Parts: sequence; structure tokens; C-alpha cells
Amino acid sequence: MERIISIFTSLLIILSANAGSIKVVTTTMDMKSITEMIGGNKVSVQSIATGYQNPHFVDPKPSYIISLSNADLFVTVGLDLETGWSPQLLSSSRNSKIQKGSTGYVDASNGVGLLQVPSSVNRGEGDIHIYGNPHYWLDPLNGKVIARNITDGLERVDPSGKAFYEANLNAFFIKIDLKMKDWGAKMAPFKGTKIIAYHNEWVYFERRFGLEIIDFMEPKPGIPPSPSQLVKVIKEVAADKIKVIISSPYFTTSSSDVVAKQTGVKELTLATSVGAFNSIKNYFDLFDYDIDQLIAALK
Amino acid sequence: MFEMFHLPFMVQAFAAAVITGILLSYLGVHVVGRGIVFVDLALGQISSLGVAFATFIGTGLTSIPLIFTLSGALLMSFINIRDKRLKQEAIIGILYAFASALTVLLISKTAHGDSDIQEVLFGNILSVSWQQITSIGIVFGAILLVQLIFFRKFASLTQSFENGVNHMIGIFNIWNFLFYISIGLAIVFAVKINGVIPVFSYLIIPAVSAIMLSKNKTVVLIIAIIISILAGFFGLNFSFHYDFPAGSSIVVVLGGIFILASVYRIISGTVNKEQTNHNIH
Repeated sequence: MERIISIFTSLLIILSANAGSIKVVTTTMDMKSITEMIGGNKVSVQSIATGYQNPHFVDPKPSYIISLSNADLFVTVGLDLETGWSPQLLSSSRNSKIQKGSTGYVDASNGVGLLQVPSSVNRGEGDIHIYGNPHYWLDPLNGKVIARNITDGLERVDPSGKAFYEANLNAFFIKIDLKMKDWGAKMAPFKGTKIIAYHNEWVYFERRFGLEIIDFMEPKPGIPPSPSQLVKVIKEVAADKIKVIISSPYFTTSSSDVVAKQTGVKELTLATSVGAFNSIKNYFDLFDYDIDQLIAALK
Repeated sequence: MFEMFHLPFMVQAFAAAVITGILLSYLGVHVVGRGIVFVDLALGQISSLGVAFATFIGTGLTSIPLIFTLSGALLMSFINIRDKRLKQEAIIGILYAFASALTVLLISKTAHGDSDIQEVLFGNILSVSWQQITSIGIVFGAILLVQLIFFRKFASLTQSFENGVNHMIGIFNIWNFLFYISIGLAIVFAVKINGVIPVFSYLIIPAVSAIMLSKNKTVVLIIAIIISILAGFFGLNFSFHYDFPAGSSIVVVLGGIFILASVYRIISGTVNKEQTNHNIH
């Protein structure tokens, strides 16, 4: 009997080892999606923020700390996107494997060509992101850098799986390049199109797909639209024949509604993360969705 | 029920909840007695104003909010109303609205100042460190010690507010001033760890529930403190087992205790009435 049990438990251990034995916690859904593509069935991944939540503000729950304390790998978007909550959760987890600088800590922003890095740190001037704009995953080519960083992390905590991760990374690179051709072709007719955005999170997307964001609904990042800003935007919409104002699921549309009513401009809520809408299941879906929506609105 | 104590961060959260709960529920009995329940929101808001101001000038993120709050407390201790048509609460309410609006104006000229304010308003009890717990332990212990040594002074002061003879205490009364400083200090430190709404609830709900349950002043104080500890324990348990944000879970449990106390009060009230009716017949 004891023998049967021991065979059974060792079988269970083997089985569970196959079904994602490496526990990964990511801060956002985009990091989760890419980790799953690289780690395949060797990993089980959990994201702390949901896709429709503003990643700057996350209300901590006990389960976040519990999953962090059991994690083998932690993936963060980095810069100062999650400063309000992730360092505190990490230290509460007391998991030495995933603290900053440990082998299980992955800062996905390593090596990303950052935009809007302020020359002097003066918060009053709107230079809030002291390391540069942290919404870099919205450029699909930065997805490659993220994937490389995650692959390195997985190889550090599971050296035996190196070949497997490298193969998946290659497949990811190939798919990104293929999809990028498709996305680029779709967006090509709209190169140089002027649009307005609610918050300054689209700079990487804008750069990659040749759009031109001429102004933001927010007078400064994080500050709700003021009356004078609304007047300014309404004038700009008329002067530059702006067709669309883009926003994210976690911002209120009330102020863009005002502009839309006055000018007839279209309001578009784009996804900033995987899971923002039900149809966006992975990192590729994210760009498929946003680009299809944009094209439909700009036509 | 005690599984949560296997996790160090839950033990820390409970320690912080007990320390803040005991002091706030004690001070709450005075606050409710004086009829100044807005004092917490007003001082909390003045503290946020301090954060907004510090962010605006780019320095003093820890000292300025403290200075602002203590000045606000000092200001409030001077409020001495002789006109019976006016209540102290109204003046404190005005301070609250004024500080809120000033905060909004300052933030509007400070990019992402709101993220600092958010941190002040929504403290996170789940990631409190032992270092923080020790520092509030010392500060709150000192406040409580002063309160207990001069228990009679503070009690008779609150009594004068309850009896409506508070204008007799004069413009500057050292005990009134000390009381407001205690409240100010307690709120600045407690809000950083618990957030504004949990602090407000800890201050008001145990006191109100205890007053409903007993007429004896000492018993009221003891019940209030017990309620605050129970709420910390069951609130964190609730948060732990069903995975809810901790601060709001504690507030919900406090709310539940208040409802239970009200029901008890209503039932015992009708029973008493029936008994009196019975006696008359």
C-alpha cells in the first residue's frame, strides 16, 4: 500500500512538474501574455493587474502577496509604472528569490529605447515619469525586448529549459515580425494622421505606426481636463480636422463627450493591455484590436 | 480562523490594526461626545493639502503634512462658539471643504501630484513594515499615556461639550489644545497606514456602537476598544479568506458591528418600554 502511495505521489509530482511548475507573477496582463508564449507549459503565470485597470493604481489584496511569496519569477514593466504598489507588495512577500537584483526578478524595460526621458527632474513641469514614458509595450517591436528579458529570467531560474525557451523566443520574434508587416501595411494609408489622446500613454504606439498626437485631453499627465484645455482641444479639432480622440478603458469619457458634441469628432476607447476587452486574449490580439478600431474610425 | 497568522504580513497588518484601533476608538468616544465627527476628515484633508503643497514646492513630503495637520489641530482647538445657533461641526466642515478645494487647485498645477495624494488617502495596511509599526506604537503609546494620566481633565472637558457649557472653557485651554494635538498626530500617522476611510470608521463606529450598548462612561470606553480589536481581527480574516482589499474589509465589519448594536438597542428599547407599560397596568 505504502508503495502504491509513493508511486502515486511521485507520479503527481512529475505531472504537476509538467503542468507549469515554474510559478511566475507579473504586474500586468501584457507581461503575462508574453511570459506564457515563452514559457509554454513549463510555467504557470498570474498577473496582478487586470487588463482594464489603470496600472498606476492597484488596490492590494492578500492573495497578491501570497502568490508573490510562492513565486519563482517576478516580471515588472518597470520604470515608475507600478511604483505605487509593487515594491511594497514585493517586500511584504519576503520572498528573497524575486527581490530586485535577485535571479527571479525581471525588469522587462531593460534595454528598451525609452521616449520622453526628462532632461531635468521637475515634477511641476509635467516630467512625472523620471525614467521616461513607461507605456513602452504599446510598440510591438519593444515586445521583442520584453520577451528577451523574460526569456533571460526564465533561463536563470530554470537553466535546464534553455533550449525550449530559446525556441519559443525565436517563434515569438518570427510572429511579431510577420504581424508587424501586416499591421504596418494596414496603418500605412494613415501615416501622419493627426489625432488627440486623453493621456500620454500612446507615444510608442504613435511613433511605431506613424500617427501624430497633437494634444492631450489632460493639460498635464494625471490632471483632469480643465475648461481652458477643453476650449483649446475644440479649436484644434476644428483647425486640424481631427477625426478621432483616443482614450483608455479606465478614463472617464465625459470631457471627450463635450468635445465630441461640439465638433462631431469620434471618441475611441482603445485597449492599453491584454484583457482590456474580452476579445483581447494575447499580446498580438492587442494590436489587432487597436489597429482595426483605429482604421475603422479614420476611414 | 487563525490561519492568517501563519503569514508574516497578516501578523503585521493585525498589529497595526490593533494599535490604531485602540487609540482611535478611545479618542473616538471623546470626538463623538464633543459632536465633532468631521474632525478626522478635516484633519485628513489638511494633511493631503500638506502633501499637495510639498509636491508643489518639491520638498518636505514628510514634514509639511505633519506641520499642516498640527496647525489645523491648533486652529480647531481655538474654535469657541457662544452663539447657540452655530455648531462647532459646521466650522470644521467648512475647513474640510476649504482644504479639499485648495488641494485640488494645487494638484492642478502639479503634474501627477494626485499619485502622492492617492498614497496618503489610501494607505495600505497589508504592506506595513515592523519599522512603521514600532514608530506608531511609540507615538500612539505616548498619546494614550498622556490621555490616561490626565484622564479626568479630558473627560470633564468632553462632558462640558456634552452638556453644552463648552463656551465656559475659554479661548485657550491647554487640555483642549492637547486633545486636538492628540487627534492630529493620531490621524496623520494612522491615515498613512490605514487610509482615510478606515481611520474615520475606527474613530466613529466603535464609539457610537459602544454608546448604544452602555450608559456607563468607563464601560463605553472598554466596549469601544474591544469592538475596534474585534473589527481588526474579523476584517482582516474576511479580507484574507475572500481576497478583498484589507482597509475596506475592516470598515465593512465595523459597519456590521454598528448594525448589530443598533438592533440590540432597538430590541432592548422595546423590551424596556413593554416592561414600563406592564408596570403601569
